[in-house]
Amino acid sequence: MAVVGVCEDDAPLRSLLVRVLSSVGHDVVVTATGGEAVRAFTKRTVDLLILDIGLPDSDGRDLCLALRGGGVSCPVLFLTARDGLHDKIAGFEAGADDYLTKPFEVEELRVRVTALLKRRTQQVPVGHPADGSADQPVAPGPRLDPARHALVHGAGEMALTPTEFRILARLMSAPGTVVRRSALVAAGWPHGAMVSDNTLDSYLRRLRTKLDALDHHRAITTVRGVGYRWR
Amino acid sequence: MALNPGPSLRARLVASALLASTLAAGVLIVGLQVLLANSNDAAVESALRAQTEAGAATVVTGPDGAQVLESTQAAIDQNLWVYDARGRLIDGRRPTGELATAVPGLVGSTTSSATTQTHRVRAVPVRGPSGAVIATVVAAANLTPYENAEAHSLWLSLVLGLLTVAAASASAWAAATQSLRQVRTMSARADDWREHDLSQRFALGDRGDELTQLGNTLDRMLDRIGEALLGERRLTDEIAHELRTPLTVIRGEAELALEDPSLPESARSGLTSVLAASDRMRSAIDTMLTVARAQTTAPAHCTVAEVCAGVERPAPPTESSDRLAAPLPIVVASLRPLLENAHQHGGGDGRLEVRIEDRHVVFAVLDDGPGVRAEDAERVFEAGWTTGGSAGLGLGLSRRMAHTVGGQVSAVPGTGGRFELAVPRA
Repeated sequence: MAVVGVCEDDAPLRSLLVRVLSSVGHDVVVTATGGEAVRAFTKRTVDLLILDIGLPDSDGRDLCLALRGGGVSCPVLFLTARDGLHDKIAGFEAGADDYLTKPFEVEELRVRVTALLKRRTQQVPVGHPADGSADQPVAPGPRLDPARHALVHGAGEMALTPTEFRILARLMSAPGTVVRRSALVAAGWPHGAMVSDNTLDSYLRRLRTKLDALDHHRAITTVRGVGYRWR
Repeated sequence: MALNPGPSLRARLVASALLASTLAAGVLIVGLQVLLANSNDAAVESALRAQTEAGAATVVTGPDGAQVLESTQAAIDQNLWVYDARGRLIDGRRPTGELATAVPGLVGSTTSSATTQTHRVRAVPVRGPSGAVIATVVAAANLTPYENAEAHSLWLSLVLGLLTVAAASASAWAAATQSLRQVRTMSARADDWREHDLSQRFALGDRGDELTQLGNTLDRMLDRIGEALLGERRLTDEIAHELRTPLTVIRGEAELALEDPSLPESARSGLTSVLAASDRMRSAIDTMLTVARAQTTAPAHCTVAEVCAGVERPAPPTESSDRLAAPLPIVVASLRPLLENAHQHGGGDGRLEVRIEDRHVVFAVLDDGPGVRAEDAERVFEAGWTTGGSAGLGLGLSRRMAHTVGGQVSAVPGTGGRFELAVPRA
């Protein structure tokens, strides 16, 4: 069947998830912290990720952003106790494909997992294996560490503010593609926040300075009138 | 600090400006009049002195006593009289009117003066070579022109004073209105942001004027409210995580175990009870979180129209603007289970009626179902009590929600279902 990655800090729930997913034939890779998840899922290909938001060392949404920035493009399902609309919006802005609030019915989890895997299979381009193994994460250059809220490049590390982290993760999740200013604002700030162009530009300037300090020059290019691009 | 209720700030500012400008105008008018009166007095005295000195210069000592070298009547003034030492008028026309007594009355050996209604009179003795008084020169000055000038000056001052007071008051009114309009605008915006968008700030800088200080103070208050709400949100998120995660495990383990077809019936029954209990616990957690969030994030009041819109029902035209002393999410969360109950047991969507009582707004949900028997009127609110088709949690949830805002939910026994939600009026 498929390989499902799980990041859940609560051991009994982790165990339950393993059994529920195994009961329908999936292989499950479990992690308990954001740091473990980054290490595990940027090295190993999975077909689906189930992430908790309230992790002990990081926010699951930052973890998702960091994984996306590291090249992980498989579907992500947030499994969380937070049921507020702003939480759901923030989850989807962070790159989630689905959102399930605790407590949930076991059957509903199975159905959602099946639906996400089915959609992923249908989206696999011609010439790629249907099990998604072509989605091998490649993370050359700097990478984001959600546990330390930092940008890591070689031996160097640069601390990022939460907003810088989210903007950079959004850019890094689409290398070579122009990310519109509105998409960066949606990624960086809470839903509905009024953010001026100058504010976004100043954040990008700061990010460029930090990238320069890590000897990663001109990683962000400006596409005038549209947005920014991660090289 | 308690602010004294009473006249508006604008009225007080205008009253202060009115009082101050009136006092200033009054002092100015009085000062001006006193100055003018003294000046006129000095002018009259000076004129009288000049007249009497001129008259005295014409008096010489003759063989029969004092004698006037030339008549003053043609050369000097008609209001000049010369009396000899015996009090006889030797020059000048006999005074008439009020001067007829005032002028002779001053004749004597000393300089003297008197004031009648219309004249100031001054008498100066003239001495001969021996030093004896040989004559008295008396002069009179008409005061009417001076008094007229003073009266005109007073009226002019009063009119100018009134205009000044009116202009100062109007200016104070306009300035106060302008300033207070800005204060009102800022207050309304802060109120709106408090309820809808706590990320907004005035950010007026540090110019140092009062409105900037007010804006900065409001910004700091919004910061504090934002931090408090963020803290509340974190707390409720933490509570949600701590309660819902183990509940998920309880529920999931029970569901997973129930999937085993070889499970003995007794264990199946026990696990079904676990599932039912977890449902009740979920309902209780939802209630607590809804109440906690609504009480910190939602406005403390709502209207009947908002409640009706919240449950997708038309608002009654006459009661729609009545206000309730409860956050909208709680009222809606309390009313919704009653409508769902009506839908489930009444065969339709249920009818919503609103009536206004002295202290409560009552939302009555009616259906065409069998209704509630009198002996079941309280039991229907117990968790798990159901006639089938539901978990039996909705009515209890509705009542718990209502209790958190001082309201009540009750079942009215009779034919056809009738549940009433009473919410305190604002």
